[in-house]
Amino acid sequence: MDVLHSGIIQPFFLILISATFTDNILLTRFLGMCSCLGVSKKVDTSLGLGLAVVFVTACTAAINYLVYEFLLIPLGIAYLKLIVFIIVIAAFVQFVEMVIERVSIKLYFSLGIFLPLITVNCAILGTMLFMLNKPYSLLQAFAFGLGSGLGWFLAITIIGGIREKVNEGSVPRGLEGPGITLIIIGIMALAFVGFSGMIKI
Amino acid sequence: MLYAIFISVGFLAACGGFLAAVLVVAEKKILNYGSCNIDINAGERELSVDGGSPLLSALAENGIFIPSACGAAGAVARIVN
Repeated sequence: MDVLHSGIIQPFFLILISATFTDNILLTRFLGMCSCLGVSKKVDTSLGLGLAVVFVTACTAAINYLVYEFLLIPLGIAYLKLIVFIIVIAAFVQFVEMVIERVSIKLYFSLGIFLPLITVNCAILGTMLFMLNKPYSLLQAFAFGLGSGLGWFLAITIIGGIREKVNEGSVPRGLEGPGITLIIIGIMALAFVGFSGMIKI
Repeated sequence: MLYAIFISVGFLAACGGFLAAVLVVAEKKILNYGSCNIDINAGERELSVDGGSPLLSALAENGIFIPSACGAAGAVARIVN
């Protein structure tokens, strides 16, 4: 039976879980790597950036779905989706930046340059483009965005936790920093292969 | 063909303009700390500036230039009330 048309709740959670675990955007597609390498030194900054990415991905997935279905397709300019999605994400990130600056100035400074760089986080744009490959409804598109964001959040938090524990002084010199991080991500990606194929949508 | 170009350019311009307008309104609403008074050297001079901007740039706007090696990012102090 077609999963996407079996009620409302069931596809929502199936898409959410599959986007978070079986199709983890960071660990199976290796998207969003630049900010992951840059911010994952500590758990608390990873948490902050991860939460911001979850929020931005979930909301922009819904907004971009509406823009695509009700503006781009009727006007016959679906080929503009890439640039329109980027504009929408950029505006939304500016908005989130203002809110974070207002709510927590400490988080604002600890995220630093990576907050505006969420705009060009390829995990988010990737989510928008993968979303169009499937015949999702609005709610399902939102679930997919939320799941992708949560997957990214989960991965960067685990990586941050491992990097806090890894004694960087004891790794060979050429592997310090990004080198050992990429190895950690590779091993984690192998672990996440165990989930693959569990849910098929 | 000309029509398609017209539609796409017009749509992008409208989209960008709309989002920019939303952001300007949001900035007015969210980052509005009200105006703040700065007392310089214990009553020598009083300034009234908009809240939320870095202290260094707020002072520079009022003609008070303080040398700063960091390039006046003003990360140290920020006016909130």
